[in-house]
Amino acid sequence: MSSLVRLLLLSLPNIGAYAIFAIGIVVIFRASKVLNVAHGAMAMVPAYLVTWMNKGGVPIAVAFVLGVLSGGLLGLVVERLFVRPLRQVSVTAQTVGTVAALGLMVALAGKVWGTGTEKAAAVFPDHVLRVGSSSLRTGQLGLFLVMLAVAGGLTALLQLTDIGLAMRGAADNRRAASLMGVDPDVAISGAWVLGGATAAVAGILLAAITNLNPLTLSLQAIPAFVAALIGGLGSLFGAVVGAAIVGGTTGLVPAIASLQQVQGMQQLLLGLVALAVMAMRGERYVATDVRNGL
Amino acid sequence: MSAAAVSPRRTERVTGSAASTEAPTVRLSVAGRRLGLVGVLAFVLAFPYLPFVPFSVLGNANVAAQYALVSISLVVLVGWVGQISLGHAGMVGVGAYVTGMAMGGLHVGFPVSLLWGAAGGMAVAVPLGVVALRVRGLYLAVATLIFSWIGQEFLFRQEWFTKHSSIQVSPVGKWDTIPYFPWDDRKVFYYAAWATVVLAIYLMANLRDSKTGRSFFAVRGSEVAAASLGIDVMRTKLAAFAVSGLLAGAAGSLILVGQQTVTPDAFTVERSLFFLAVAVVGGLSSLGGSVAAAFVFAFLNEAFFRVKAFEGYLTVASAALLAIVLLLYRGGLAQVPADLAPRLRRLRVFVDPVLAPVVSWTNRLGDGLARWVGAHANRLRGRLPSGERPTEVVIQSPSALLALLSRLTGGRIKAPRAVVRTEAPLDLGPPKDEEPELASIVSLPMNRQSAEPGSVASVLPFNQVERKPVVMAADRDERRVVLAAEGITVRFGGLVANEDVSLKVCEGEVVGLIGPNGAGKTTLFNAIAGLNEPAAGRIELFGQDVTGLPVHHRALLGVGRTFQAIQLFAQLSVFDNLLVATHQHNPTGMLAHLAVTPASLAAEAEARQTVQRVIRLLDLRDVAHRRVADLPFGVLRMVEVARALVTGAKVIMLDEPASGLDNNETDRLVELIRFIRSLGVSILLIEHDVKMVTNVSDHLYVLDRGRLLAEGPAFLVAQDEAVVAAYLGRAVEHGAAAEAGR
Amino acid sequence: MTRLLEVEGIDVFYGSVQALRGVSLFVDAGEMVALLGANGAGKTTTLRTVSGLLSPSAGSVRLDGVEIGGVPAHRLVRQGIAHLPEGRDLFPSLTVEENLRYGFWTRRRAAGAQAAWQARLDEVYGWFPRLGERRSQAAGTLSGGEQQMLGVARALMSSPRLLIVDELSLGLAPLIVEQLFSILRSVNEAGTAVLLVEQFVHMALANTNRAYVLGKGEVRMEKPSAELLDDPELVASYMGSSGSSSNGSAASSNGSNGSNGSHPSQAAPPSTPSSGPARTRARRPRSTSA
Repeated sequence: MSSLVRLLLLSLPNIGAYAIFAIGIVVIFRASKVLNVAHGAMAMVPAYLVTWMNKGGVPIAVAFVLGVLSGGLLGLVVERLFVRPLRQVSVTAQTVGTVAALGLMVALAGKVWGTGTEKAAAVFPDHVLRVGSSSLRTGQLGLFLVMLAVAGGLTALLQLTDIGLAMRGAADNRRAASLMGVDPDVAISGAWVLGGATAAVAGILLAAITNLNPLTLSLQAIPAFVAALIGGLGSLFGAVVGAAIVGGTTGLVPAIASLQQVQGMQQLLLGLVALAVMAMRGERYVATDVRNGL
Repeated sequence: MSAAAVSPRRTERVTGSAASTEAPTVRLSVAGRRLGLVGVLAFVLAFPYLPFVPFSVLGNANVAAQYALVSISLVVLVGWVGQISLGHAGMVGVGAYVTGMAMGGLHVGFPVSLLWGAAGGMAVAVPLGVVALRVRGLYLAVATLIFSWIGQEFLFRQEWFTKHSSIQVSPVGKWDTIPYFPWDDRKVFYYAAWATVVLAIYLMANLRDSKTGRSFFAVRGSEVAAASLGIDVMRTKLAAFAVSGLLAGAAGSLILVGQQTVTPDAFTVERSLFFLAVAVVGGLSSLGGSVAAAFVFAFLNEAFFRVKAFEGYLTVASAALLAIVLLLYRGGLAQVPADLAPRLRRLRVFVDPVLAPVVSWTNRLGDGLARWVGAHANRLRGRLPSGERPTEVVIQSPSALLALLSRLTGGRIKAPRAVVRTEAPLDLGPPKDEEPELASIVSLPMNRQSAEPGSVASVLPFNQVERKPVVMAADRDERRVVLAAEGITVRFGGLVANEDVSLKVCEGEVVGLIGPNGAGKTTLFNAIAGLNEPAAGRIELFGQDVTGLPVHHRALLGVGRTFQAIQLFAQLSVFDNLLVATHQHNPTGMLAHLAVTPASLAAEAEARQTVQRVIRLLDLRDVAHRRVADLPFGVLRMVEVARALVTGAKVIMLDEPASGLDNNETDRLVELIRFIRSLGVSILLIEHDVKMVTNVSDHLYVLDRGRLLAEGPAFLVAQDEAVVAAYLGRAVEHGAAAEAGR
Repeated sequence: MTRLLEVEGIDVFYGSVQALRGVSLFVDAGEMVALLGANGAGKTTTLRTVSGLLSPSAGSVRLDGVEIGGVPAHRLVRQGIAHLPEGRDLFPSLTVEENLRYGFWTRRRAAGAQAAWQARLDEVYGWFPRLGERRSQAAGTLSGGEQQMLGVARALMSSPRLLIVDELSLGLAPLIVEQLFSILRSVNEAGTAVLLVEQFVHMALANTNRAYVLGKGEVRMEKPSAELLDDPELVASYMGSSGSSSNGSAASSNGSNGSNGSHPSQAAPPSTPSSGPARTRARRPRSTSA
């Protein structure tokens, strides 16, 4: 029992971060059919900004809000600059476009804030909560709770508001949206803004409980890709479930001593899970592609 | 490195004739140019020992070789086959560490250890290729990214895997190294590294210009079309992954030997993305561009190392370069010479006076040297007189390097495929008296020896060839059935697209398949071609049950097809598009293509001649060497039919060939269909233009709402009340009547 | 009657393929007009150009005399054009009511929008009770007939002045087609002009005032629907040689040699005087394009 609690506690923060990332990835993917490789970088830059602002005396709450806004802006910029111009070329080119965006953001962040690892501003006051024999820090719990809030809020936004309706429709069927009077390009940009803002939330909170590093933080989105893939890239709920599986796997490794000894065991397990999922789902994608080609 | 100039050289030739009309006053003579080349080569060879070359520059020249090799590996995979990889650093890393294990653990020496690295890269690339068989596009991108990530976080941190590479490895082996060469000397390594790159370029250029290379391009262009030409898409992809992994592994090997020790930092996900950036900046499909991009990035390394003000901006500059190329100049560096040439020409007025003395001096020296060389001089100089360069040389020579060598030596070393470079008149004989077989159209050269030599009507476009009437049994039941579909039912989810449809095509027939919109014609067509699997029913080709067989197997049995939405390979020329279709008649394999064996050359020459014949026959000469993407629609339809013809198929399926054509073009198409039929090829035709179908078909099948509504001789069926009703929608009111009318 | 839509001499290209060659037509307010022709004649292309999904490379499209050629579709909805494309084009993952809500998008901010929305919704559910029953079901899970109903209903939510309908009957049972057409008629009687493409020719002609026949991207004929119903030329334009006297001659002239290529118009089926006016109309000098 206690080991189960321990596993859960170890997994919670990761589940939180990966779920928020995966939700953003899914929102972006649904809108523009692009896998945003730069998603982690869209989280990393706001995390640095918040720490920088906080050091400069801006209260953390204000800095957090500004950071999230900057994430939304980043999403918009990446879409307009690196994704939309390549839409006529191919989806692959768009993906490479996000690669370029990732490279540029990581490089610039490294130049501005240094490539070393530093401590990020804490969002929540740091306390240690004791649960049985295990412990949980407030930041970790906070990340998980914020994830629930983000997932709930985003679901509400998408399901209950007109703007959400417009975005869901435009993701479903571009042409039909256009025929109903919604400019699909605006709707797609909206999805990127949302994706960027959620990425910023995850980035800021994740940095607060781990560390700040331009590259490491940017690559934190990779497990979230796995989560989104497991969830089928289609639904927010699927993304959260996928994140739970991924987060659980990453929690499993430190919980089991024999696995812990091998370096990179988490990543190996996740990678294998991802490849297996793709191999199982694969055929369907191929088949639909062939038919679309006709 | 000399081959870096290969692809620009080719483009230059196309525009070359236009340029020569401007009669530039200053230009290098043949001997002068040769002297220049020798000079460049001498510089490259002497580079490490030049007194003014600093140590770091030499180091970066070696780094450029590593970049170039990885970039070439990406060019093959991403540029040629269209399989995106965000994980090349993983393959490179495996190559490096496997090399380390071989060198440290087994005491293998340098040149041999390269093979270990290559094998290591291949060993991980092929499983990744297996993943690529099931997923594509975005999902493949993620799969490769995850692969690189596993490498970074797991594999490259395992002690057993990396321990030999984390301490200095000795490149000098126990028994297998070449003595006298201290490979750990940076200068010596320069030669080893670049020799490896040159060898890689040579092999890849051979591959590119061969059947294998064309199958790569075909898979990139359209997997469906590639399969319909008999190309095994899966095998092609796996081969590409294997080759790419091999090169990446070799590059890893070079990295290890060049630095003697590596850290996992060299093979991170970030590095994967960087490698992709090098390839994209190079233009993503050009070998020469790869080398150029490798130099650009190596130069950046050097520049940012030297200039203090730039410090820390190297990664920024690299990322920015990728972004700029991707967004503003997608052709990459490979595109530069073609874009720059006209601009430079305009600048000649200013440049020429300055260059004139240098050029004339070079020319004089070159000519003098040539004269000094003696008896060969005149022949050398006269070989390519400046005014009359043969324009036909646009046909690629098989091996760029060999062609270059041939040019350098004045032809003493023969570029093997020079035979087919000049377009010799083809002796396509007049149609024979007996029913001509397809073999006489798309035949091997030796078969054609029997044709009357020197006949006047050597090559006539098809619509001027006098057609012999096709002799067929009057009773359809007595004709040989070449294609039969029996009781085909196709469902998509709950929707029944075809229900219990049967049809057959007999030898020499043109069979039309018509029906209103949404009747299920294309679905049936795709079921026959193997693109969708019928829930029930059976498909036979030439008496063989093919129901479960993949598309390319059916193609190999002798079925060709065209597509409703044209599926030509847009980036290739018309000639190359047709050349892809010779795939199934070329028995040589990838190894033969890499080594340019005589057998592969013979097969290639044969293939080219076949294509030439079809091009003449269909009167496509004017467009033969133009890129498909730039051609008008009507021509493309013809080219697609021509491509099906080149495969030597005995049944050709045409999916709405007349859609998008105007009346003139439709008439021409009808002519072509009749001509193809006169060759003894059967045709199955879907068409909306009912008039055209009834005109050209022997037998008609009418589909309506997924079922067979009527069948019979064309002229009868088209007047059938029920058919007319189906087309006009009277079936709504008289549905029962139409049903009864069957 | 006032002229609502006027299309004049438009050329439309898909890449290098010319799909329309100088097509001209008009729809008056309150009219119901059919666009007929064999597959590939350019019907759908014409509709898409009118609704702004494609832009003409020459010629003009005017709504109430105002040039709209090249204006993107999402702006034309506000001008009162609604387009129901072929194959329904629903939002499959959205519910029935969400689809309808999407159709109401351009009017959601108007004064009294909430009341108008409710009224419109009640009206639509009145026409299609089935949709009311399934209001919270995802559109992708509806049957073909229900999907088409939803398509029509959604297009009507914006209270358009011009309703464009492409292949209403595609893949539907005859009974449902009848039902949908009767609803279209009542919508039309309430004042909405309708421009429709329909493969069930007789159905289309029985329900419209006028009809155009397209062939190979050109207008071949324009007639009151009632007159066209029994016109042999109509059959000819669909079936080519069959059913018309040009049967044998067309085949033989095509077979002889390439000489008839210089007179493509002779090879075209409708060479009788009746197609004359339509052809001249199509070639009328074009007004300056937008």
